[in-house]
Amino acid sequence: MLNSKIDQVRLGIIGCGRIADLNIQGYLDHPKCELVAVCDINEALAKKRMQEWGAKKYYTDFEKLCADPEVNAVEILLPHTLHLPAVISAARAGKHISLQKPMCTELWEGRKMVEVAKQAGVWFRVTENFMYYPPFRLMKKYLDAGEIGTPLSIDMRLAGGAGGWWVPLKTWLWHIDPERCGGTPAVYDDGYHKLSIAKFMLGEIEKVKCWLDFTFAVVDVPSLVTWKHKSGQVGVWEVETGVNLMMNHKYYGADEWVEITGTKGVITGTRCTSRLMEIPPLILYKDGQHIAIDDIRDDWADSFHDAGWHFIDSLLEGKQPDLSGEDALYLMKFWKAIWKSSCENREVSLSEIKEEAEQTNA
Amino acid sequence: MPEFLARLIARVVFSVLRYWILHRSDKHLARSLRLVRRVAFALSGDQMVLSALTDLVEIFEAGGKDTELIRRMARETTPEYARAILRSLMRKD
Repeated sequence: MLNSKIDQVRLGIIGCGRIADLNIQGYLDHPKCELVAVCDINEALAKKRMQEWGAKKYYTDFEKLCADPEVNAVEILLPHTLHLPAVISAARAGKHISLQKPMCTELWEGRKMVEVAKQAGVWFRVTENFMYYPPFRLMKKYLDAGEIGTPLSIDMRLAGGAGGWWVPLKTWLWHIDPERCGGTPAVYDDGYHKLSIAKFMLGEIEKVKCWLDFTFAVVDVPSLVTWKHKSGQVGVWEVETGVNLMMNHKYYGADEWVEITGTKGVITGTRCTSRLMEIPPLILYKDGQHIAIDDIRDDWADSFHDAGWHFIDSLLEGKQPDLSGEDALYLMKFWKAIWKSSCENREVSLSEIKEEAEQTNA
Repeated sequence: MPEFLARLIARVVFSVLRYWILHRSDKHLARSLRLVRRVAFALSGDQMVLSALTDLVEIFEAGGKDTELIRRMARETTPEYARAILRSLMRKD
């Protein structure tokens, strides 16, 4: 099945909550993607989404959507503890899978997903949108083209603030509950994007050292994460929240800053989720000059759109989409090393992170 | 929700609310919140207030992990944080 191309992607969306507003965008306007079905445990929401997005049918049970022969691929947007059963169900029904990050709550679950998808012969990716944010894609191109020389370091900041679009309280609660989320809300859940960007820009990680503090007992801010890439560059990620810091936003009340320093220049991405500062989304400094790049798509939704297109295009071409299951497992190990470093207050090498044995109740 | 109302709720009702959350049972809180919802909606006529309080009523009716988590957070909260959270919860954009 992996070698066979498909002419048309007939998609099922599993999970119709808040983030689906963004994930759906690329699928709706891709000429070779047909939205066949949607699924949500909340029937009223599933019906509403079916009408809003022009799907043919709706389900309230993901097993039933997966059994639908008309569907040949699924986008899974469920709470983290449901990722494993949904991936197993989709893979065994022969559907190609795009799973929303973070991959899993435990490493063995991620390994199981990779194995099940491989056995079923379906493409499997764990999507995260930051890698498709147009200014970050361009940043990577400049980096690879040697515009700033040899990269020396990456510096990232997450500023959380007041406001943001409406998210149901129940959704917030499972997101900040370590047991149901699988980790912490900032450095693990949202952080998956940043860890992905660090790896995307500068490659694999050798070791980490960090400090996670907590607000409200469970929200891991302020925090500071540092690491060293295998290729020698250092990375730092600072995470903070200003309770009265009003964000200029359309989505979540948070904004990002990514800066890479090289031997002959600096390149800075100034926004992503929000618009904390109205300055160009990408600034390149080289040869003593600032070059502001502002003629580029820079809405956060663009990154979701392009992530959707990438999945569809990959299936049409019969090739593995980026952000494979193995890549996602790597990012999970990056997170586990961060957590271990914070708990044990020491430097942790990624090679110390071992996958646990599968639990029998899976 | 209007800013002045969020500030008022956070500063005046904050201590009472936290005491309730930390010392009353889920069932008791659900009952009290139903009453608060009725009064708040009657006074404000605001659909957002109704919807946000309905979410809270349902959470306390169901009990379990969500209410355990709310209590853990309530122990550490301050009026400033409470106001910021309320402001976020009352949005329906």
